[in-house]
Amino acid sequence: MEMINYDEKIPNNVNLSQDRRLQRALEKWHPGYIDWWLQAGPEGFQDVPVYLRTAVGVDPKGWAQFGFVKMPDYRWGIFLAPKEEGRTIPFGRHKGEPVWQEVPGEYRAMLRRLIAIQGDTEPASVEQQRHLGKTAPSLYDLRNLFQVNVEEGRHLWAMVYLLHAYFGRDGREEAEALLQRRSGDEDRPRVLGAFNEDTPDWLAFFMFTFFTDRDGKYQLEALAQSGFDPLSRTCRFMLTEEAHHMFVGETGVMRTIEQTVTRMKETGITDPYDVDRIRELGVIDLPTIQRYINFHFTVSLDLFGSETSTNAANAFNAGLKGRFQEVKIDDDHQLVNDTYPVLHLDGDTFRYVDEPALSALNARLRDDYIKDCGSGVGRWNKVITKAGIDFELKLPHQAFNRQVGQFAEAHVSPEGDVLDAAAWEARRDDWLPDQDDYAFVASLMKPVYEPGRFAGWIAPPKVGINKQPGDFEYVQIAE
Amino acid sequence: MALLRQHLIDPEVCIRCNTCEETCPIDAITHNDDNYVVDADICNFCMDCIAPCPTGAIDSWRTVQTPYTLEAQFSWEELPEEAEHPEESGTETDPAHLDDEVDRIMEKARSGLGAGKLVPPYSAAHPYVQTYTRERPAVARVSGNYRLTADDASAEIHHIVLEFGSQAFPVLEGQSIGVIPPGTDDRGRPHMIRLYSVASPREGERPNHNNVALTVKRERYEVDGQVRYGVCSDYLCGLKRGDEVQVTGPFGSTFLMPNHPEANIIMICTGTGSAPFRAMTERRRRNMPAAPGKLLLFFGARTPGELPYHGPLKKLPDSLIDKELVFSRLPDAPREYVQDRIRQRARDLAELLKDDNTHIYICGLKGMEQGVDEALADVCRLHGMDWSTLRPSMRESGRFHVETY
Amino acid sequence: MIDFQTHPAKYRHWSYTIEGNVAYLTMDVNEDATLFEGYQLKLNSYDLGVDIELYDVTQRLRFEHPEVHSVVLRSGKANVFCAGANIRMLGGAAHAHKVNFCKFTNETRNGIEDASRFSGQRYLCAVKGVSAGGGYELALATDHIILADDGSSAVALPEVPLLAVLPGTGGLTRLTDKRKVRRDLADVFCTLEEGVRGQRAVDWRLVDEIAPSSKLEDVVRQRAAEFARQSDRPTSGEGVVFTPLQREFTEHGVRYPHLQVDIDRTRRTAELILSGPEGEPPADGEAIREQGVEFWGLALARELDDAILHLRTNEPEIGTLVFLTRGDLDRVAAFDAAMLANRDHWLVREILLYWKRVLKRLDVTSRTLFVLVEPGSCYAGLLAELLFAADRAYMLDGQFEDDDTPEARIRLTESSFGPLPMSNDLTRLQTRFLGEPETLEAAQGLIGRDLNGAEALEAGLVTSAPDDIDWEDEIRIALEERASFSPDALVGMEANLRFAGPETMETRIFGRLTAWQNWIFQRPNAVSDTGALRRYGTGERPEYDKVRV
Repeated sequence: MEMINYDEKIPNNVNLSQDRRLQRALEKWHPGYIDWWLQAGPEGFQDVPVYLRTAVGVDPKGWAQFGFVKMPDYRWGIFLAPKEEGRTIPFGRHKGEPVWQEVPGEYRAMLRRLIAIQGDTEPASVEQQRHLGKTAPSLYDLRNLFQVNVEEGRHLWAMVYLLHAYFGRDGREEAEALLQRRSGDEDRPRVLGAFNEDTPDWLAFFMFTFFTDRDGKYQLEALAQSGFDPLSRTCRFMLTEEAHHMFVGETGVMRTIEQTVTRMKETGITDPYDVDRIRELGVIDLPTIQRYINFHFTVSLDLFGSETSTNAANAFNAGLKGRFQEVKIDDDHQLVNDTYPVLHLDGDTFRYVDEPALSALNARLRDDYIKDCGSGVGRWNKVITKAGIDFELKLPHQAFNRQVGQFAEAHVSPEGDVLDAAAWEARRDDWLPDQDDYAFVASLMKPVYEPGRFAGWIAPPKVGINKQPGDFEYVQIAE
Repeated sequence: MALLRQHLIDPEVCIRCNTCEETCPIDAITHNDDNYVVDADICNFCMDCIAPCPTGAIDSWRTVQTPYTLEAQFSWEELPEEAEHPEESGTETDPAHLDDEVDRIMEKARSGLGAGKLVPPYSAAHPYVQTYTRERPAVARVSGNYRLTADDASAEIHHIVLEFGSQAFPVLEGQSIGVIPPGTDDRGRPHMIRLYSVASPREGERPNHNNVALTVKRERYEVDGQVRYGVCSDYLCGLKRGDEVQVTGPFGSTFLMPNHPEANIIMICTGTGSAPFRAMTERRRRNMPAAPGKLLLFFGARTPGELPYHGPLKKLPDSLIDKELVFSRLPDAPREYVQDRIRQRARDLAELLKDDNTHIYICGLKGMEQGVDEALADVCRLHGMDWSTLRPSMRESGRFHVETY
Repeated sequence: MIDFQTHPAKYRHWSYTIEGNVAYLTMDVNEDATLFEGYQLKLNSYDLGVDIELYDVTQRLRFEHPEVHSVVLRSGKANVFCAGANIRMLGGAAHAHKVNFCKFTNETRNGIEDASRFSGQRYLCAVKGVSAGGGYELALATDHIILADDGSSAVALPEVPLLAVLPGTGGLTRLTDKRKVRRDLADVFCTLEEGVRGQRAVDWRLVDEIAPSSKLEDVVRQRAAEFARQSDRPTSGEGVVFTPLQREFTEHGVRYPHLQVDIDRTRRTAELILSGPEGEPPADGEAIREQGVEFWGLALARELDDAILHLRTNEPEIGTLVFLTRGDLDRVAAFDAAMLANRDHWLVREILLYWKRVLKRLDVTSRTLFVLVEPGSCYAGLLAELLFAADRAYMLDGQFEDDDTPEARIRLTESSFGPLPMSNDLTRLQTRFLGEPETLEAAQGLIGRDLNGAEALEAGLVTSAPDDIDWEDEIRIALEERASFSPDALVGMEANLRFAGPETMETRIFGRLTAWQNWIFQRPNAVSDTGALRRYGTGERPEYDKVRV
């Protein structure tokens, strides 16, 4: 195990205390980062102890240390997964060559772009979620929100580390720009669309962590394959944390559904479309949940970029960004002559067209993502089935409600029917949350800060964080 | 057939994030479209996967005779109930199953409680008892052995950690295990089993390790001017890392820790009698650091150098545990015993004794028992309570426990 | 390996005699003394080997013979002046060789014109017999062409009809730009295989005068003497003999007394480390002449000249040249000042002209040029010109950690403001600050001041001034990135960016050469098996793709 020097201002396992260059660069950046956290990070709660997990090492046993900490004092560290000796570049033109420990000059620009885009998403979600503390359904959820936030902060650190350590002045400027952009800011927005959307309520937050953070997971998975070893190691370690965000999203939606169906059962409502009565129970009706799914899933699909992409092909060929679980795929990992079926819309019909596999990498990563989302939705449905309610949540068709890629101009229903613009617009509110839905969900967003208690629209979790008992005071608000 | 502690993943809690599979250094974890599962043939309980799991689903265990297959695990929508293994484990309420040998020891240890049915605290976890016997012992491996007391202290006390590998050895705080010293006595009979209270909490000395810690004093006495050592304690204290030890048990189904967070626990001990209290304190520290119930410890020793775990104990925050360390052989200080300190804390103790959530545990040398009993009686009298009626009622509700030797 | 160093004793194609103030330079190509196999240098045709000797002899005439005031170029063969570049050599040569050959040939011819214009050593040319293609181009490089009026002597540029290529070594450009031949007549001339003879050649401005064969010698002598009289060179006195360069070639580069070339083949980079002078500068021009080839300013120019030619020709895959200097800034400035102070001395003038040509050679070298300014370097005066000749200059801001060497400084002198113009007739700083005259003026105000990294960056004199924290990575990545780009795209990009501002005949020569001739050299009409260069002399007609591009 690589030892971590706690005495340093910045906990790390990258030998920061010996690296004068990096240390100075990061220490310069740090005040700006703290400013950003205080300005754009969680609103309120900055001076109360929160039961958070802190990474103190990369050893599987040592990386999750639980304890109470005030968020601005959180020890955002720099951690890379342990180095695999003898690792070789797993794909692309350089396949089989030893991995790079330094940025290959010829790929500097491409790598910097990949890292900057990934880095931009991390602070963005913190900004999007900054108001949610005010309406947390429980201290447990409040804590989970903050855990997600501080870890996104750490992920920003991780990307900034790479920029500082490997990209010289350009890297520092790029890192500075990460702090200047703001989610939803008219003049300096975040780079990707979904990261400029509002996260108005907790259901949206859970959907975001399930769908949008899952895009992050897939991007990190692809970068974790990188032949640029520091990037690979950074992303591998980030993935361990990213899993927590998936957990918050999946169980958050699941607990929402569970509460809805439990209350329906208690009051003898069997028709999931009996929306008014269900809403009177103070729980979120399943059709509204479906509309949230429709929105967040499709916005997240856009994050994967165009179906066919030269950039993706170049990054793969250069050995910088691989596929999901690249090393487990059984092919030549170079794809020069391979094809991959990509869904196309031809008039009114969808069909798969074999595209050169190299340029179809975005489509492939998106397909892996869709499958993963599907199994999560399947687990949600089990809760509904178990309660004996006849309703099935579904992922909408991948061409529905898209703004990026070849379906951006198409008007496709969630079922995959091709419509004209007017017909699509007419049914928009059936498919996507409308103002009434948002207003109703917002009306449920009343904070519950008493240990062990939960808002009426959400069920308690099955297991406490770090196996804490149900009434554990995760955020010590009262002093 | 020995029982196996099988590592499983709770499919209801798991979010299929692949972190565990990624983490497992020996590829014991795999998945299909439905579930992530642990291959019992491969898993070596290294526990690398536990901390990274975001959900806690990974931290699931079942004691089984035959491990669940991968196919079975793939098909689950939820974890199966924990199966009972009656032919493997007796309970103390059925003395017929108890080893006579162990029975005698236990009886003697609890003699201070007087006659009557012994009951555990209502919120105690269900204990496994005597899963392993002299005929079918568990084989543990020593993973650590450290001297706890100062080099110049008259008592030589060791902290010994035993690993059980894939053998299920579920223990609770307050339980004991038996150690079979190798060899025979001078009449050619196998040595007697010795019992040792477990000094680690239920998840293991290291969280989620299948191990236990013991606090062992090397018994030293003189026969005709010659120094002799206790057979088993001498054996244990001399063990090296990697040595194998035959273990029976676990034993004890009443001297157990209450699980509800409101429970107050008064712990009174001397010397190695602190072992179960270390276990209980660790349990509280790790799992419910903010529990409203109080921990109050009276711990007597001759000097700080002879008080096992003196250093770590001093570091525990007062918010977790109220500590009274009492020394009887400090230079320049009058001799003080635990009963003296109990009287000093009469007011606080009286408050606690009025609360139905309060539990008293006494563990250590027989000699302390009477003095403590009298001190508690004084405390009650001073605050308008009657110890002679409180004591049996606490005992009957599983709130008064004694183990002395 | 092609060596650019030679010596009159080794010449096989050229000879010269000196009569009074006139040198007679005779081209008599030994047809078997070729640089490569597979062709003979018939009819006074030439290959690079012939040109290397020509370059050597022009240099020696300038430095070794202050008394030579005019030079007559003529043929040693009775019926031919020069048939130009050897066609079989061109047909068989690799593209890169053709390009380098043409470039060097042009540089030599520009050098001849430079001597005529600035050295007081004017060239004239006596053409008897056919002077075709490169032969006529050679004549065009001189100031005065006298054509024998014998009914057969002719000048011609037959490349287009015969070879499907251009008279690329300045032929077309000199016709229109130097001799100002009317474009329609030039068009006719360039498509006449047999060329133009007699009076018409004069009428069309293709030659300066004609003389009957019997009078040719007299006319030439007379003209040579007239030219010589206009010279400001000394009429006698000692020159500086070009003794052989001290060089040591290794697998990893070349070592000269003042220049070390370290080649990194994996990174395709060469480091050129130039050393500053030792000791005090000589007191005046004569003292400099006494030091001769040992004089730092001349020695380094010769070494750098040779190194550039060597790298260009023999190390085609070394794509980036990184310049560094080591030495004392004050001392370089002192030597620089000594040369500027004595620039009226014929030798000092020659040395400065030589530096001008070496720097121009750098300008047209199709390699990436980076300059690094680190502590211990000595970019003052003419060495500072390297900063502005480079595609990028990196200067360390401050010192290196754990190294006491004081931070690097650069110092501008008058050398950057006149004596060393580029092919576009502007100084490098004028070219650099074309759109910022105020920056140029400010730079002039900085003459004599020591500038550290931050100040140099502020003054626009360096591209980037990383501190020691970034230095190593910044340079490494810049070099690696450079090495990853297409060499062709870089050649085009760099050449375009280096020559901002007005066109001159020289810039047009190089521009047209790279743009047009190199394109034609790639086309099947010239170089395929059925193209003109390959078919030449076989009797078979070349086949042309008739599509106009």
